[in-house]
Amino acid sequence: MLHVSDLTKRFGGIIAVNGVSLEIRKGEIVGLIGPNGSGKTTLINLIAGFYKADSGRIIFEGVDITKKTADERVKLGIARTFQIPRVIGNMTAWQNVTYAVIGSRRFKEKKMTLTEASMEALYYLDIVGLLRKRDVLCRDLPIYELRLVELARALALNPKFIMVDEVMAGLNPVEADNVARLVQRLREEFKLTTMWVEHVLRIIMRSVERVVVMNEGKIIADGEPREVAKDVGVIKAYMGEEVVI
Amino acid sequence: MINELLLSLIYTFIFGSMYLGIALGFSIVTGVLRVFNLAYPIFFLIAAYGTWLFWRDLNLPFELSIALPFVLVAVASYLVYKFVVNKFMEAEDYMLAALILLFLAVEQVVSIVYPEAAGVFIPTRVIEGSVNVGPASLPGQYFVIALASLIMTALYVMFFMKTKTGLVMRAISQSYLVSRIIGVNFNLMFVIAMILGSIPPAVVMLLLAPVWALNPFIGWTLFAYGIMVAVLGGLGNLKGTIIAAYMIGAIYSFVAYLVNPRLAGLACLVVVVIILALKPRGLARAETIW
Amino acid sequence: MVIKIEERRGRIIIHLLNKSRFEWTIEPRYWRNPLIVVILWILLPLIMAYYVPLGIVGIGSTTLLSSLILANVIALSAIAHSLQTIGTGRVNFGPQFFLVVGGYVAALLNKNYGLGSELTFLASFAITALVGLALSPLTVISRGLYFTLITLVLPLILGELIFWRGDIFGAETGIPGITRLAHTGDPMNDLLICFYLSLAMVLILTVIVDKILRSRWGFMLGVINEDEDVASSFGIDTKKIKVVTFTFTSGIMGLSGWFIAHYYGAFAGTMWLEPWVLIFILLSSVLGGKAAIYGAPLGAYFIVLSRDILRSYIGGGYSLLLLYIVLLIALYLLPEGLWGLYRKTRYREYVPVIRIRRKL
Repeated sequence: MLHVSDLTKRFGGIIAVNGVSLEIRKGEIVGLIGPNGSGKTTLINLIAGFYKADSGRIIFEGVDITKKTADERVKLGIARTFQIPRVIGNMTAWQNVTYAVIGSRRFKEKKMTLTEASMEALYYLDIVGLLRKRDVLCRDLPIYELRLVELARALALNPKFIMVDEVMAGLNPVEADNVARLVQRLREEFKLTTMWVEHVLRIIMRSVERVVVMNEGKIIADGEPREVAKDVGVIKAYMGEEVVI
Repeated sequence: MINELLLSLIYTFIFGSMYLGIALGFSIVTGVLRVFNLAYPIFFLIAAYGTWLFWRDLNLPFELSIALPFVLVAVASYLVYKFVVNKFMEAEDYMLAALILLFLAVEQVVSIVYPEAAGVFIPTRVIEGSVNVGPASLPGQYFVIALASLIMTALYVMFFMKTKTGLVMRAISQSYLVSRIIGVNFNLMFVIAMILGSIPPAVVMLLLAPVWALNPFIGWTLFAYGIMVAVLGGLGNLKGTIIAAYMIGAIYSFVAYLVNPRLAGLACLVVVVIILALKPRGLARAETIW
Repeated sequence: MVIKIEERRGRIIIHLLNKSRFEWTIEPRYWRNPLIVVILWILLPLIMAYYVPLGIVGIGSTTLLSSLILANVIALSAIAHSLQTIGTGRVNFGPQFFLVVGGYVAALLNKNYGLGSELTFLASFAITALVGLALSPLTVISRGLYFTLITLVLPLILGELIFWRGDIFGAETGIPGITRLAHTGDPMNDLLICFYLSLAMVLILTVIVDKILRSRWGFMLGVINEDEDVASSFGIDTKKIKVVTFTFTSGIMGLSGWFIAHYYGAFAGTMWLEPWVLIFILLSSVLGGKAAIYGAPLGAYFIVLSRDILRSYIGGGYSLLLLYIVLLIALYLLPEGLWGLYRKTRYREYVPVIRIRRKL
């Protein structure tokens, strides 16, 4: 489904992503882990079209999207959430989901009206359980609910491939558990191919089928969660710090 | 032809230095506060008309009359910081609007009290008559202005490089957030930067007064050059400002002497816009003040 | 019975010829305020111009009408400026540039090629929009303060150009002898015609912009104003929308210039490039309503009327000084703008914000 080959991104002298090649198959749920500054979020930004790659190619469903802009990639079915929730604070939760429906591909294809789009937005808000908070301005929502808005907003794009960036950061264990289960459920319900970025493996150990470990812009391990966890010693030596448990 | 080229070169030096002097204070304020001080032209007006006020209306000795406006300028920049910049830090549309309004109000006061017909004249000529340089005969005062601008620039660069306050200001200009974390006294630093930024325009204006015809609307004209230089140099970067000042000076004098004097201003502006279209953040990227 | 009025279930119902009917709820909470405002806006100047002795506010009826006309012209540009602020996420500090371009297009075409005011209307819009289109890459390239500065430089360029080709643009004297919009012979009637024409332009633009902002486009413009990165990562083509918005709003600002040229019968660009025009347009949009479009006419009327009332009382330079002071005070007293006084927090409606620097 997604095929990344030899992707490189430099910021000044720093090579944030260094020749990364990655293959994600349809229907898979892949965990992407690594310490701070290992290039996980940069990789997401490259795939989402936020940054332009210095070299390498990104192919999504047979289409070369390396040169496409972020909004064109969205129309092809790539969605993401942000590590620090980036919702429009001056809009309500409902409005925040509505513009995603407007930006999605089917809005144009089905010639939807604004009313239809907002009704659909309600549907997605209901799925994540935020229907009652629809008219609250997002700047007044706590972080847990912002994460839910982000998920609803990504879903509203009707994506085939979704990248979830540290969706559990800053949440208490109960909330984190809820979000984790929600991501799982959404993946099954909407048949999403998922890439789940997390700081530590433990959290997503049970949820993902495959784990990719990044460090200093490179992929250093790729395999089943159990195997990767076994390699802890190796990885520790690699990274020189205890990040993957 | 050779003569004209030489003349253009000399004027490049003179105009370049003068523009540097005009833009210097503005660049410093932009660099440290990351605020666009649209009330900057009031410093020109206060310096020139303040001197006239003390000298002619209050009959103070001339030397004192030249010194006192600097106090006025410092007070004015403190007030601008306190009541406009600080107040509207979070609402910049209001801040910029308020700064323009303030400038317009001051300009209006000046034009009411000292209209052009009042014949305000400040005899700050240091070198009487003209100086002959090669083929050219230039008012000696131009060299004084150029020299003063260069000295001020050198002093400010030294200040930013050598003193502790300068270091703190450079830190602020690099990262507002980080310097907030390490507990910098922002208000103090910002006030100092504002006051430092208000001195160069006052000096340049006082030296320029005898050679250029003074009128209440001179502020915006001078400021236009300041804006061009500051934008071209990359907001608030002194290196960029210096390069940009001489660049603008060169374009101005070469176009004026080789093409058409009426096109000089236009050429500068067009070059600024073209360069900015190619390098949107100016010649030097504006992450630091130096 | 031609007209029948009855009161039923808390509503006044007016039947016209037993066919059409008009309903009005008595409870003030449900009054349709926009309709009332528009009716007052249309009628008040007429009533005031003819029936109310204006000595109390110190200005005569012709003065009042001409300042209302200027207010409408400023409002036209200010509404466009507000829309531009929302749709590009950047604050334009050179709206008078576009106004003057439009004015010169109208003046030159009318003077040199004898085009009527209807044709110059189209030409002003088209050519100013083209200039806007040519400059629109700026909205993609530069952000924040840089955009502000570049747009601040634009009027200066035009000013230099006007002085350079004084033979074409008439330098400081401008271009006289442009066909006037109304020449009935009675100055009062002329003023009334011009007033209603300018008012019609403002009302039509308000309706158009209102429709835009309530549609899907309004949503996208709002997202772009708040966060371009979010907009593009949720499928909104930010470049296209910014360019279109900038082009369209530039054209509208050009129409203000068209009106000025044909209304005064002469056009001196240098006068309209001065900083006070910038302040009038900018403050109408910013102080009026913080980029809420309904606030822009409010701001324009507030500023222009304060100026003219102050001028008739005090006169000369002092009145301008006082105006600037009044506006400064207004900035301190109205953190949400004039429109903010009326607008209650209506959650379902997006309220724009203006940010010049996007991040600290």
